[in-house]
Amino acid sequence: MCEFCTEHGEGKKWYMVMKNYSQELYAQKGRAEFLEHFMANFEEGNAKALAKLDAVRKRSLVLRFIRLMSNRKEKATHFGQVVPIEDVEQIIDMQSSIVRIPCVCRSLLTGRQTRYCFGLGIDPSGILGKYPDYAHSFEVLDKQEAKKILRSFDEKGLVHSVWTFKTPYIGGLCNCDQDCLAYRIQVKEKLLPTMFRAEYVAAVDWDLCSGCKKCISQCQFGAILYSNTHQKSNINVMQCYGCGVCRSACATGAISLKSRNDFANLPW
Amino acid sequence: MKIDINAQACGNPLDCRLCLDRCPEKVFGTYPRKGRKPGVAADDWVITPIFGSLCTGCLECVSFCSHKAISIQK
Repeated sequence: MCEFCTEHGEGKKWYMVMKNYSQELYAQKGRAEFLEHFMANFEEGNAKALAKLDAVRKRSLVLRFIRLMSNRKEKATHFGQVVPIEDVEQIIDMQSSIVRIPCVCRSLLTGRQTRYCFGLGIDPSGILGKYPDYAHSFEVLDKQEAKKILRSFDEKGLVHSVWTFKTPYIGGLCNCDQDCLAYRIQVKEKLLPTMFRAEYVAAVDWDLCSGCKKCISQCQFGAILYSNTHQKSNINVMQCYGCGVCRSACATGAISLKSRNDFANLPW
Repeated sequence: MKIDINAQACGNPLDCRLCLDRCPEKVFGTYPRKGRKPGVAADDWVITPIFGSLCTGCLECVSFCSHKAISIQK
């Protein structure tokens, strides 16, 4: 169980609790204004803040202090968790409205408009309709379409994650590869924690593994190793985020997800 | 590494994006110069180094930039 499950989960996984998607929750604490500000200033705000953070990365005391302060702030405002495709499908079933919107991370890091992100239950035309960049590319989806698109993302190796807007309200479902800002900040640059790992870790069944190595190229986190001696794949569980996208590359179905709780000493 | 981008020489980076695409460490980012405003399409963008400490000095961006807008010094 991650920190949010104990705080907001009511004994379940926190992203499985209907209340965390409710319109009542969305109406509180100025979430609509927060969302508008977040989307409108994402590129500029992050580009400037991260450049400053990058400048102090060699001064470890300063970085440690900023990490401590911003981690508290991020967890209260905008934090994420990696979610495997089965759980994503259950989340989709709970939604009243699903829209596909352009990804702000890829806009910042690649300068391209790519519609990989999903807004859950938010009213995009009311909040973001004012911004022509967003307004022209909204796509309202029904549950079946959304699931089909998410499955195809899974096969491409995109990692799904849920994101809060003023925790515990969940308003976004991201499908990330290495152009994702959260991935860049947490996994690649190791500057700040931005998201939790999934409630799962992957495991390989060696009786079924054919040693084709296809899962290795699918993993965004470099967590799959190959043993030449055994001609089988292996998971480095300390690096595994439990997203489960490796399973779609496995022709023999050798990879499955285990609960992260069953391991005593894994990072979240 | 000190990365300098001459914004005037660069023009609108969304027209070429070569430095964004070619940088192996993905050091650069781009944002709307005047911010996003309701009712106005953000079309005037600017390139900036975000993760400057990751720059390896391979000079890919300098050699690919057709506007000669990027300079990198040690």
